[in-house]
Amino acid sequence: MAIFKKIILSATSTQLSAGVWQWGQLRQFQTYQNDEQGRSAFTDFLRQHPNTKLYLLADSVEEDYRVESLPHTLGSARHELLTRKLGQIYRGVTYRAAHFIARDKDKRKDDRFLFVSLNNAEFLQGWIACIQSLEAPLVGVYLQSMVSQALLKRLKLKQEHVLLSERLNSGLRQTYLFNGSVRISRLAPIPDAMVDRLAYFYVVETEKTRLYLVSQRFVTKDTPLHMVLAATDEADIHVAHAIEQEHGLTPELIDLTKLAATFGLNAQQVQKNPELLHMHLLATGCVPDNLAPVGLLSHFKINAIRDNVVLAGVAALLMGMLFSAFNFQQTYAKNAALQEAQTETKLQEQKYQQAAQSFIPSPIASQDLRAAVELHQSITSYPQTPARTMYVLSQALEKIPQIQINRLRWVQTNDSAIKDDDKTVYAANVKDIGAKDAGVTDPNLTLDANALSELAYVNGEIKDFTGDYRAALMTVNHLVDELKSNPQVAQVVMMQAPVNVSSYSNLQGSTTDQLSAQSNVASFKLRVLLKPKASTS
Amino acid sequence: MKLTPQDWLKLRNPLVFLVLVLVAIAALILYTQQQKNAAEQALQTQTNQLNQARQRYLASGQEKDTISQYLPKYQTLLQQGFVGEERRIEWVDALRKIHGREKLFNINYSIGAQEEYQPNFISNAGSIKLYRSVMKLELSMLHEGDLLTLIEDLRQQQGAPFMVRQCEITRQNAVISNSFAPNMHADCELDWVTIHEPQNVGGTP
Repeated sequence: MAIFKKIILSATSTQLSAGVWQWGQLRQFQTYQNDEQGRSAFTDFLRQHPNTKLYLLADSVEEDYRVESLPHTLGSARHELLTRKLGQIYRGVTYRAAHFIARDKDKRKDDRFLFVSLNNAEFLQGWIACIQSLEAPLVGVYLQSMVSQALLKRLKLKQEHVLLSERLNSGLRQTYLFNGSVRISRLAPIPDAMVDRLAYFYVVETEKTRLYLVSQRFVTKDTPLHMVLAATDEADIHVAHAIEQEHGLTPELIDLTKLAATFGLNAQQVQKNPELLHMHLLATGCVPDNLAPVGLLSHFKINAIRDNVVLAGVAALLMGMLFSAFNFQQTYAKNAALQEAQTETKLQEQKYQQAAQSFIPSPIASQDLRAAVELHQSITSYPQTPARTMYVLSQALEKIPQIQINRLRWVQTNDSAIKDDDKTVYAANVKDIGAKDAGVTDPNLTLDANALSELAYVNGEIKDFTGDYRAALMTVNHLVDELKSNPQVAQVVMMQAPVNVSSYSNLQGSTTDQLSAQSNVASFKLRVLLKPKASTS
Repeated sequence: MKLTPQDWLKLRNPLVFLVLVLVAIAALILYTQQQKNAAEQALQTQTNQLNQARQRYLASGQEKDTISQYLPKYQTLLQQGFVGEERRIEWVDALRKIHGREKLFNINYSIGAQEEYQPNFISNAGSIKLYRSVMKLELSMLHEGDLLTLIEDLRQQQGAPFMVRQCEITRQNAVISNSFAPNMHADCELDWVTIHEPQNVGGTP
């Protein structure tokens, strides 16, 4: 699957190396000469691997490195600042990048960047054209030296000043790293005449590099420079001796064949194409900053979106399948439990049927028998007549013969909001006293909602009333007191008094009422609530 | 990044794939979820039935005692007319007999249509449905004792229970006369309560 494959390309001025990596392993490796035939073969190679991501390593003499400090910024501000800076430094250069090194620890705490560029990218144009013509997804263009930085990290070399010397197909590349971070790198093509005088060539080029480092003030003459020599064969040992003798440096030899073995690469292939190490590092995730402009990477971005969409689909499919499988498993388990429960229910029912054979035949279920009987008992437990209320009233009236009862409304209810619909007393009182809101305020009635209570509304008047409202009021109050003293009575409320003496209502009459009292009536109304029958017995 | 029509063309198939996958997965999840819920519900119902069956079997001894204890009482209620249809003719006959025997003034009565009754002051009705007919009695009386006599006699002659819900007694004359003329008027409302024989769901033999 192309989604798990990568093609790593390494371009020099003369050739292009192409390797196919899958699951971190090199599967295929080929080289193409930088001519028409080579590019045609490369196009065919790309056709064999459609939609496979391409990473291009550039190895060129004409590279530029600059270290600069910029004010500390983040996010889009940093992006804008770097774009502007790159435009200033490398105007007209297509391949360029800014690599963040670190933040200064003193002064303004600026951000330190390494600006790199590929000043002459003509050798890449042919290959890029092939890639663009096939709309192959180019992920980025990178510098060989920047990957060397990752190589050094893998080797765990932590010296402050390191000069890494690598013999590549393109020539001798010497990269200076300060605290593991690239500062400059230079490529010196090895002339044919020097192939047999490699030690001399190394010594000369190393001297040039040192002088350049001193001139750029990266190091002083006394700085202990740790030289690392990537060795591929015996010749490199002689080179190391020569450098030691000439410069007083003791190069640390890194056996590339052994290193290749640890990376799972073919040692002979690495000996022949040392850049394979860099390509492998790039393939396994050591991706430095990209130099290519965004326009060149559009196909990759579309491919990335497409891959992400496909991956999202696959992930959704897998998650959905997992969730559904879980549901299926749960359904299966519940169905199994259901069958067990059904069997057990049948068993219990059979047991019950066996036990029920000894029952007396009943037309209905036993609980209904009981409920019916208890229901009957419950209904008949409530008072059947107003006799108790009448008896309570009679007892009180025996002591107060001057009171006459005109109306008795007896109710068995559990409705606390019950109202008496009788208005006769109110009307009479209003007429007599002239008070619109005559009467005593009716306090809220609170009844037990789960049982019936006996409630009575009693309307009465004072017999032979002579206009003496004080006496009438006292008589009615006496009646109320008598009723309250009865243990069967829970509450007595005077809803209407013979006279309303409230300061909030009008009161009018005549002192000669006694003489013309035949037409006056001293009506009153009581509400009597009895205690439940059981509690009084 | 702005996508061109060619870019969209490249993305068409993956997007179609994604949509199809999402639809298919949604359908699959919905289906399996429904199946799971149905299985859960069925299991819950069956578990309840099992618990009931267990409980019923465990309580079978008690059930036997209950039948022995309550069946005779229930049969009495059946005979009295508390269970089953209202016996309105018998009730009217009883009223006429009481009127004649007690020499009462004219009694007006009305019985309303039967309706289902769910009073909250009666608990533990179980699966039994309660019905009531509202009866209204209107009579003139010599004295208040006539009302008590009427209700008491009705209660004795009528097996089915009724509940006197309210009575309003009003004085007709300011002075009670000794002549044989009505002095009071009573207006009562009674609930005639019956139950319908429930289905024997439990399969009691």
